[in-house]
Amino acid sequence: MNFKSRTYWLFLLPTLLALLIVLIIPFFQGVYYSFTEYNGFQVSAFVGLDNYIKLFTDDQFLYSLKFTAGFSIASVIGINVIGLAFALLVTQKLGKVSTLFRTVFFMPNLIGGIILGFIWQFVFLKAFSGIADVTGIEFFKGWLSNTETGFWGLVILFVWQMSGYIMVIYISFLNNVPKELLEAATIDGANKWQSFWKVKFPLIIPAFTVSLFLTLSNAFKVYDQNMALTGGGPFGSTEMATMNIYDTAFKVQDMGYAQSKAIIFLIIITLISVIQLYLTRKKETEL
Amino acid sequence: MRTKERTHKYTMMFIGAIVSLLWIYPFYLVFVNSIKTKSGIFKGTLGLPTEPTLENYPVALGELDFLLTFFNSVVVTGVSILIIVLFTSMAAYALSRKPGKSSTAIYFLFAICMLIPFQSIMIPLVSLFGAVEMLNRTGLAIMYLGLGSSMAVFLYVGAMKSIPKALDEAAIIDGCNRFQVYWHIIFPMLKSTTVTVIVLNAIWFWNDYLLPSLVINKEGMYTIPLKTFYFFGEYSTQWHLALAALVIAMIPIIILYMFLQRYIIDGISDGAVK
Amino acid sequence: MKIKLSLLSIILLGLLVACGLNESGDKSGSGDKTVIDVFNIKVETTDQLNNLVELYEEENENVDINVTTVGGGQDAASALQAKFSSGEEPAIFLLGGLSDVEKYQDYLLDVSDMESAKTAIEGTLDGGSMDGTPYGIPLNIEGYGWMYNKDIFERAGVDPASIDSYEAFKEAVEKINEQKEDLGIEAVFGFSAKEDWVVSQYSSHFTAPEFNNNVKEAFEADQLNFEYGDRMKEYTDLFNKYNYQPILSLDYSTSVEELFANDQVAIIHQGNWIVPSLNSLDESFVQEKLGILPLFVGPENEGKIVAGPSWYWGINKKKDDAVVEESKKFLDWMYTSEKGKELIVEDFKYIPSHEGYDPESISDPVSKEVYEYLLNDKSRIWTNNQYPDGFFSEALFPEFQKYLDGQNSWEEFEEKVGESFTKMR
Repeated sequence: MNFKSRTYWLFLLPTLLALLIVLIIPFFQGVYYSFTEYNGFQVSAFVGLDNYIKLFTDDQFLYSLKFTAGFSIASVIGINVIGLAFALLVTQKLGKVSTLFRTVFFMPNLIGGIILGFIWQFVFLKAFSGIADVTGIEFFKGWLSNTETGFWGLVILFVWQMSGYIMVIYISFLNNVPKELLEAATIDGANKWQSFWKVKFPLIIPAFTVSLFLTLSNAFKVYDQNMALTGGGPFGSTEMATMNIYDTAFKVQDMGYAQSKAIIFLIIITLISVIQLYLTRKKETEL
Repeated sequence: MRTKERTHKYTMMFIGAIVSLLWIYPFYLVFVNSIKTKSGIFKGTLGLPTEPTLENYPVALGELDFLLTFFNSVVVTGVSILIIVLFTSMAAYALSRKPGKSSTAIYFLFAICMLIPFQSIMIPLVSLFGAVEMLNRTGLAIMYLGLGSSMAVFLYVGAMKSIPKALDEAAIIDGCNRFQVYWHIIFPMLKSTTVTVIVLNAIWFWNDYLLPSLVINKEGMYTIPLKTFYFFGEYSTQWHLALAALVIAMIPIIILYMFLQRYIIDGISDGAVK
Repeated sequence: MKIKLSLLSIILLGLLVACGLNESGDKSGSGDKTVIDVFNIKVETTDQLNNLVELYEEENENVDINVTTVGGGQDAASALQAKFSSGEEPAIFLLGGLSDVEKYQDYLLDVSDMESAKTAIEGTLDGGSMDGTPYGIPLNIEGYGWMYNKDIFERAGVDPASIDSYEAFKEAVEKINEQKEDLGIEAVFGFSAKEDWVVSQYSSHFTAPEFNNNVKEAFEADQLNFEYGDRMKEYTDLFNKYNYQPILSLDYSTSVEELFANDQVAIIHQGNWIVPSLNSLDESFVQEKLGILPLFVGPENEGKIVAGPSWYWGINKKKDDAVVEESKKFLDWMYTSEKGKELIVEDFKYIPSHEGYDPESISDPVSKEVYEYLLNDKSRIWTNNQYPDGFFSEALFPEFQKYLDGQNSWEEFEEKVGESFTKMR
């Protein structure tokens, strides 16, 4: 009793249609635009590879890629270390308090990047300078006014937002660690520390691959937070790749060129995702 | 042994409490300063307000046009979710019940599309929808369906594998057509997956800024993130008003979180792990 | 569960349909009224515009005017473009510079026969004209330069009238700086280098003379050589040295509303648009303390401020004839009728860009000063409105910030910015 062909396509039609006009056609159109000079209204010239050649001398774009990479690495480390620590903390048997902790840690994840960016703008600009005034510690002065504090500001914001999310993933892996194994370890005289490294840790290694790449590609795609917290300033030194693409497209109105940047961006993201898929599949078959 | 365990427990609780306080401190700062006057904030951001005031709130509510903005967010999120749940579960049903070359190919197509980051199609997408005059909320819902379909289809296909085909067949013998089978039998059995799909997409749609900022150009149709952003552009460092606006913008989602916490957290972990 | 779900679906789908109707609905209008969609970018005077529209609608019951205001954090140019590409072309919209006129030329109506074009102050139509045909009605006059606090100057013993050259200005700044503590100020300058538009406007003083103070020349130029770059460097070094720090994160409201309004800094680079916001904090400040000083640039180092029309109203000729006619009537009414004039000066607090206004009716001293600078030919054009798209935010601004931060030399600044200017044109 198989699906009738007509019904089958009818069921698929709306989704496939949306996929077609939202992703597939724009994708090919985008590839085409990247070889042209395009201002958003009309294509004025076909320029071949010129846009791509121009990319390699575009200091600001190259810088924004480098900055994004740096941001991503720092955030990925921060998020995963803190996320795992949180997961371990709330899976201790602490009763109701565990749920409360989990609730609190996860909270920032529910709120949009724009709002989070503004919250932290207030914290860095006003609260930090308040702390500096009270304590006189130099560290709290002038946040977001230079590249370094802009960078760390973004990292702190993103770690704060994403740790709770990664925590949830680690929790679900930790909960899958068989109780018998842990009990056996305790009977054998292992302390908490040992049972973590010897029993739990090997079993949650797959969680690392998932989390690592999830955070990595999320970090690469950050836009809202960047926009609301630093706006790319000062002097474009905290401008990430996505913002560079957006500004080239909608501020400079050089859409063909912006699209060639977008294609490079696509290649980077795809590489990250493919490596992720490869590694997770490999891990799964090994287990 | 006993006491050792207890010390361990209390140490953990202590650490947890400290970290939790640190974690919500930014929220606390925002709230506490939103009930200060403008000059109160100039005087100091860390302390409690000397004369707490709620007068920033009516102003911020008015400037955000909150009822309308909130309603807009509900409409955009609600309609988009409805469409995505309905259509992707239908698609997944077809894919899982008719194995074969075309289903495998389509499944593969979804997988490939999942790799495309939004920014890389943003420019042509806006041009395309602009050309057919669809830069409006209907267009937005279609975009969300396209962008979110892969993930939702995967989740639904995964869940449908565990529903025996015999069930469909029995129903068809009883005289149901395919749509009835799907709607009355299959869809209700997918409740937990539907919750996951709703949670994941609701958080995304509700908070999304970039796409709506490109698509919604009418002042009366702005969603909460858009309105907050423009509000900030106008009132930056009018911190007393801006902070009240932030609190207002966060309240709906925090209330919802309090009630639906379990679903939200389960949904997130299902979505990430599967 | 099932019933609830279906019910919910119906409600939501209903909403969707309702919204869809809504979106196309207000184009067709209500009844037999002529509907005019106005696209406004001037956020500061949104309320005033709405108020004026209401009055007009009361007098003219056959017209229905819908104002959409976009601005604040939003990029005005892309917002307008989005309007056009979403098939919701407005009937009346604001144009920034000649590049907007060029871009929307296919849509723009020749306004030369309109009353509000004929009465525009001589020269003010230029910024909205292509090949001699005017396509825009000037919105108002805005002027900017060094806004200063007269009270601080007086207490420091500096006579603003004696500042007749860059050297005299520098001396005055240094004199104030020496007495910083006695005067109770944080710094002499409160230049907000976080705002790209402030930097862009500042640059106009030095680029205007290079283009012979001619709007068209500035628009057509494909090179920016910083002919007066040395003077720009001198001014820049001066304020950077005596500015409130960190200069790069000093934003508009901190600079204007927190520091300047509270007598914490003596000089900022701003224009007469800060008057309403200063008034909302303290009415007496503008009347008693606010003044404007020129910058000394150009072949003769004349002291001038930048003043001129900032925006232009364009009319969409592709709309129905009735809509176009009513749009013309509306703009004429706004600028030439008695009621309109009254609102422009007293409610909007604009400096009028049209003749037939009594200069005495301008409500604050600084706006009067700006108006006089313009009438006495002591003003420069808004060169920054003629820069290539995105030039100020993507090239000029970041490079300028780098210079302020000591990351590159002035030569590098001029070279890189000049290069980008040519590339982006």
